[in-house]
Amino acid sequence: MSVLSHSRRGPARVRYNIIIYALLILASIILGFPLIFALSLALQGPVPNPSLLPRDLTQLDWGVFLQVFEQQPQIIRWIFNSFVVASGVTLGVLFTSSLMAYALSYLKFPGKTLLLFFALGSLMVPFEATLIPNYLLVARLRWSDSFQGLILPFVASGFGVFLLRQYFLTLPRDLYDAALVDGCTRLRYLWSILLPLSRPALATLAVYTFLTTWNQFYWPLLVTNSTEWRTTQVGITVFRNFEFAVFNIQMAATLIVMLPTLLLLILGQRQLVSGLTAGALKG
Amino acid sequence: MRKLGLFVSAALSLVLVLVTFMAVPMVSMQNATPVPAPTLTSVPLVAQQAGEVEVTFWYGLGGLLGNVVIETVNMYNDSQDVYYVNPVFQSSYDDTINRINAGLASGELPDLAQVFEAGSQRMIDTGRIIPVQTFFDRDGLQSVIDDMEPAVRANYTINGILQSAPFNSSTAMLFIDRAAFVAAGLNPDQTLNTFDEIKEYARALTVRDASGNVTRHGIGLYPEGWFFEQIHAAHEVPMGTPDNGITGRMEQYTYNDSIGVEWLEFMKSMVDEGTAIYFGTGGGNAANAAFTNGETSMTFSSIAGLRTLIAGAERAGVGVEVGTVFMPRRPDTAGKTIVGGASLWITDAGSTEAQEGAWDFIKWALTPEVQAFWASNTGYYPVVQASYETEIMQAALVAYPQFQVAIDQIRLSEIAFANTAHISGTFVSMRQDVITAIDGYLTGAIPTAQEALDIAVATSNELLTEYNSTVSN
Repeated sequence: MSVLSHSRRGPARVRYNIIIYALLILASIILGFPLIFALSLALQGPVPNPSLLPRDLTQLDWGVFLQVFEQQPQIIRWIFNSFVVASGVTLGVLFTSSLMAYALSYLKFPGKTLLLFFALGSLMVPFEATLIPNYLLVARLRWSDSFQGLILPFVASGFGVFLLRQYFLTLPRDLYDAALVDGCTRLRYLWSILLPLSRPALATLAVYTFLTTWNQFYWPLLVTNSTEWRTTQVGITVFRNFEFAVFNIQMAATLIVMLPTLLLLILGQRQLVSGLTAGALKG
Repeated sequence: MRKLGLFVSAALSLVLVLVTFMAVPMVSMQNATPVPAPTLTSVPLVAQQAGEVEVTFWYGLGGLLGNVVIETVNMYNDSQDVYYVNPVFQSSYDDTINRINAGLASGELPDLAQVFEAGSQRMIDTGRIIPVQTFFDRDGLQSVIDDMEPAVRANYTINGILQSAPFNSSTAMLFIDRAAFVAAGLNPDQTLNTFDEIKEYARALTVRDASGNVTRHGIGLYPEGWFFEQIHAAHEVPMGTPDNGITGRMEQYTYNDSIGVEWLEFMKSMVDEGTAIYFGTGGGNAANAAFTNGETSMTFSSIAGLRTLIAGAERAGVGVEVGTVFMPRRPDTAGKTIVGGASLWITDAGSTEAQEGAWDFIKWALTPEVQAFWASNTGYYPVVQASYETEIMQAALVAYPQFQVAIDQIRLSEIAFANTAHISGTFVSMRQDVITAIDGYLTGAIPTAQEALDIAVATSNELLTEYNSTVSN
């Protein structure tokens, strides 16, 4: 973009910029629409017939956000739970996947191929098939209503192993040999060289894992028995109305639980993008 | 440079969004103050006192109505110090029963559960419930059962005994705009109407502009299994054998019958004439909104939504006057409709004390005063008839005469197997099959109503047979 715009001068450049910004604005409206719509519904009061956008900006019901906390003070605890669980699972997946992918891509040992197939095979088993056995195990370990019950079943991921192994294989093996010749230990190589070089793959895996865990619904519903151990996705269903549709509190609650993830994304965006593009260029 | 560009684009989009907000025409400003919906706000749980026996209560009714559940439980916990009912929301009725099924193996079960009527058979099939009839018999409280609203009592009397305690019950109504009725020269007080009359009203209520485009449709429609069941009940036609599953396990669905076909054709003919607007699957919210905004003059909905619709009509400020009439039917048919909602089930999961606690809560919840509180704050029927004698209920009926029509509707005829309940283990998916059939026919994807229902009933029966083969007894 900078190359192109430098080659233009005067009115042509202005016109070019106008078009670019018009497109950007259009894109941001499309992307932001769900949020704007949710905000619009939240602010229109407890009515069955909200309009697309508020008809009277002086009558906006900002108190609805307060109502969410009044009605369910536990929502703060739910957000905290979700954060701990999603972060725990993400760290666990990064840890286990990088270790196993390292072994599968760099080390030679008997049964390596078999192990890889096992990891891949775990991808073919749908979550629903293991749901009940997992639940029974967790229930018998008396891990209901605990972070370990919510986190541990997800800390190993066949997808993570596969993704990282494929990425590790794209890095030149000479680097590994040279490091070992220089006296670098295998673990040190993983920590100091391989993982920093694999930032884009790790970032992708981390974001993917965090979001899927954050969005989990059925597992947290199964293994939590008390209100304070719920995660956000299970918790906010308490705001959904039955028999009639009034969306304001539901939308306000949705916005509240979205805020932490949005902030994380906005604050972490630079690193994420730079990590991704750095990898793309170095190939 | 790049940073500046980013900033400018962000600022510009913000401005544009604000402008969009402003540009929306500000109609009906005078009525923009939101009318409070039927609810109590802030409901923190009261804490458990030392020495109280805990009774775990799983419930599936969320939102504003869920607040009233909590408020009711709080009242109970404050009223005595032997038991403590601990309510845990389980996301929905469906998830509540799914969790109970999962809990059968792990032993994590509640002492008391609120489950919708579509889950009654599945609750019985868990083998872990204690029919409430047992407790009523033991304590000699048959008089309470006798005083229950007959339609409600019958809905939960399966295999000859009361299985669960009715808690929240509602029925479906045809909502009408009384003002539009009067303006069109129709009588809004005629509660019993035939299919043909409703079609006639829809024609009279439809407004077209000079170029012939419809500006207001007579009626707003959407596919709903519950209404389909109501129509069967009103005509005393069973949807499955034997006896709608009330006397024994349902073996076969038979709802591809003439009344089912007539109901679908009734809706389709109005859509074809242009006097009805079809909102599609999941269009209930849109249909309700269109009704309150005066874009349609009739729609089907649950009586439990009455106050929300009134509040919505007041907010829209276009003069819609919410009224209710019975579900339409064939000529000379004055059958009652069926109730929907949920009931309270006692399980054998906990200690004897916990079971007694669950029973104590039910006994308390069925007192006329508690029922009056519950009904007047939610829009559900009081479960016991003595409740109508209370001042709160009397006041509620004066304030909402539309509710009286709903009471009349479930008392229109004697209780029969064909008009009280539909009990099967695959009820939820059967409803979905009906919705698919209605939508397929109304959108023209399936040419005839008979064909649509034939497909649906075959699908329903396949799953029903499979379910029945997985349960013992």
